[in-house]
Amino acid sequence: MSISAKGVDFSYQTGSPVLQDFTMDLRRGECILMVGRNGAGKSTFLKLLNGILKPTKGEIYINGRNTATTPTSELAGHVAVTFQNPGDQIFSPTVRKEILFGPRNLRRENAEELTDRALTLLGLVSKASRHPYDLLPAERKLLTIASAVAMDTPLLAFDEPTGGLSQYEREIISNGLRQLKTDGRSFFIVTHDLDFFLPLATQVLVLSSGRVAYSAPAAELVRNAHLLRKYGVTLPLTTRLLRLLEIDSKS
Amino acid sequence: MEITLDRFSFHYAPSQQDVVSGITMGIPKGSCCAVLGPTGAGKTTLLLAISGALAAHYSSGVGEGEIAIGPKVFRPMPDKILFPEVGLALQESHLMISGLHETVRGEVGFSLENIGTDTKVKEEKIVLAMENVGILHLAERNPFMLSGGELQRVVLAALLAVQPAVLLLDEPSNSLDAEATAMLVRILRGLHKNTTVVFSDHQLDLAILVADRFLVLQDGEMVFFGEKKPFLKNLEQFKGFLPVDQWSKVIPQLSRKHAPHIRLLSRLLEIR
Amino acid sequence: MRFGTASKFSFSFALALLAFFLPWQVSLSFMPVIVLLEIFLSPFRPLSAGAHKKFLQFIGYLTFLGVLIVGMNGLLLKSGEVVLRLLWFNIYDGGIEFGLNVASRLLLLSSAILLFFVSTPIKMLADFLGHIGLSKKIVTIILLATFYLDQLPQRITQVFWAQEARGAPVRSNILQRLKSFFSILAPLTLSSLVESVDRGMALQLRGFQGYASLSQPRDLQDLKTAFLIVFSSLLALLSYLIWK
Repeated sequence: MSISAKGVDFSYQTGSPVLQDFTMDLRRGECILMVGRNGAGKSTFLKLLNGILKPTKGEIYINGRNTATTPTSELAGHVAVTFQNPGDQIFSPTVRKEILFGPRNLRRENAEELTDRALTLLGLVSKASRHPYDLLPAERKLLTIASAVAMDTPLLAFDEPTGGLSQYEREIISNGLRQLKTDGRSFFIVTHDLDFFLPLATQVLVLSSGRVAYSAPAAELVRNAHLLRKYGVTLPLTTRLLRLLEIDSKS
Repeated sequence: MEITLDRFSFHYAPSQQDVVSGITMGIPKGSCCAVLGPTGAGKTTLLLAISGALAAHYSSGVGEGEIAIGPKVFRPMPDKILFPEVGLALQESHLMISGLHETVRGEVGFSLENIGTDTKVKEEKIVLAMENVGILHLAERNPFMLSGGELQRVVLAALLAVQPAVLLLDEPSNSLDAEATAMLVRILRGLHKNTTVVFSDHQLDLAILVADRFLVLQDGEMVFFGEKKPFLKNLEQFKGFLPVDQWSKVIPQLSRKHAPHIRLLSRLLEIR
Repeated sequence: MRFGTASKFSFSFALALLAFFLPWQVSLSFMPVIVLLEIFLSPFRPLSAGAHKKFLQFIGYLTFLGVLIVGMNGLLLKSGEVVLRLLWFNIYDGGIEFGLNVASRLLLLSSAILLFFVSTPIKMLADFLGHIGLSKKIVTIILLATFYLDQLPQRITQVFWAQEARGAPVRSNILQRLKSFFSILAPLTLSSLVESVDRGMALQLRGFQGYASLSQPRDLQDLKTAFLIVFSSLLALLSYLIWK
């Protein structure tokens, strides 16, 4: 599994670019985090990833398929993307049907089984026959993640998967992602929640005004935290405090 | 204004269970109270109740007890929306955008317009509020073209512009980036003296940085209500439904160390 | 004489009303007038370049639909004389006449309504509705409905995207498109309704009173113009009917 983006430009209106000369690579088994200010172009990149939007310049390849020429419905077999706002993507009358929609379209032979597994993984078994709009916002978020997981794609791309989630759901997601990682799935995650995802990540991309301003292995980021400040990214408060205390006890 | 709840309970339909149950607390004027708890604990319901929206929009709901806001006592809760004295920002920011204005500037001014603010004063207040939350650069943009975090700041600016005496924020730090969160901290700390703030969150960072009262809810029940010191002392007790792990490592160390800068830090955070 | 939301509303309303009575020749001659008004007269200027493009596009669709209606009626409604022979098909003048009547009504009615909405911000509509004395509740409902209709195409696109992103071949052919469209219609309506309720609450939370109460009384000043427009068009209609 791989993503390869080369010199990608994108703009909704001519003259106001959202992404500029964006280049990145993701190889099988990796987990890349994309961080940056509100409105830096993070969510837009996810829409480019599965071909909903097409680059105005440059190319993106998913498993060797050019997103500009491959239909989204075909790319869907390789990459599952969730949106930030669950309301934008939920359309089925029950939780179970919503999850089943993806694997069935992709003609996965074990669609039912994949659905059951996703329901279990994200702790939604007891809500399977409920209407998605009867769920709490946090549960709806879990539902969108379950719908992506059930598609059984080698790559999962999430937009702020922990936004608005409390400790309980965060633990569900954390355990779920670990399990999916051992199954060999790759991740591309747009987030502000460095605290939560850094332990899972292999690499971190910092997006600033549509460009990759900084890219480094996750371990290196912790050491260079001061560099990230100017891109609107800071490590969690507790991490910073602990580091401060650590330095203090050493001196 | 002071906010007092006395054995306040509520359920959405006659046959259902209580969503919040037996909440008793007092938040002094100018105080900032964090309502903490996992999903479904009743945080949103509580904020809706204080704002008046709960009784106004969920007519089949049943409440008990009483809520007092300033000199007014409501039994069991305010039955109409108390805007502009009390302002509430809903969790889903996009719902708060009226759609009646094409620009962020207009949207921020919408509430001011509704309370009949004079045009010149209005313009000044709009600019001030946008400046305050750092969205001046978005002034002429269409609100519906903004990202989630940007939208959240527009809603906050619109609310701050009317200067409500009670400010209710439902999970205000949800999709904010680091800078915007720092800004929120600065704004909330700056407000303290004149405005009573109640906000909900399931994270601790914002709460520890700005709140002086803490209400912890689980399944609608009040697990804890009190000031910062006892809250931090009992942190371990909330393990399992609040993300306390990191903070329980930090706090004992912060209060033990004697290096001057650590002492200053602990004093700033009011941890000692 | 002032020309504001009220006079615009009554002008569009009068045109829409006339569409039901006027012969097709007159109705059709109004069409270029509407387009010219949209382009040149400032109160009718579209809100944005995008709105202008959509307006022209819609007029284009309507015209196409009109031609189709005339053609089909000429072909299928076998009344009057045969005016044209196309291969094995006969076109009848009675059918054409009927088709022209239907099409011209549709054209004038839709474009009159469109002319009003393309140039009126929802905000001004709300103010206007409030000023003519509609209650806060009704204005809120009208606003929510307008908002819902305004957002509907975008929501449909978003759900299409979501379906496509999960492997549904929504772009492949018209049958697939229709299928996915109908499968989302019910949940979409439901979710939008749920959202409308919350949005109504949010409007109140922001202090919405039905209209901007104190700050903008100027919108009432063109009621005289509005009255004049309605009165003169009714007079014109009446004299036309008597003359006929």
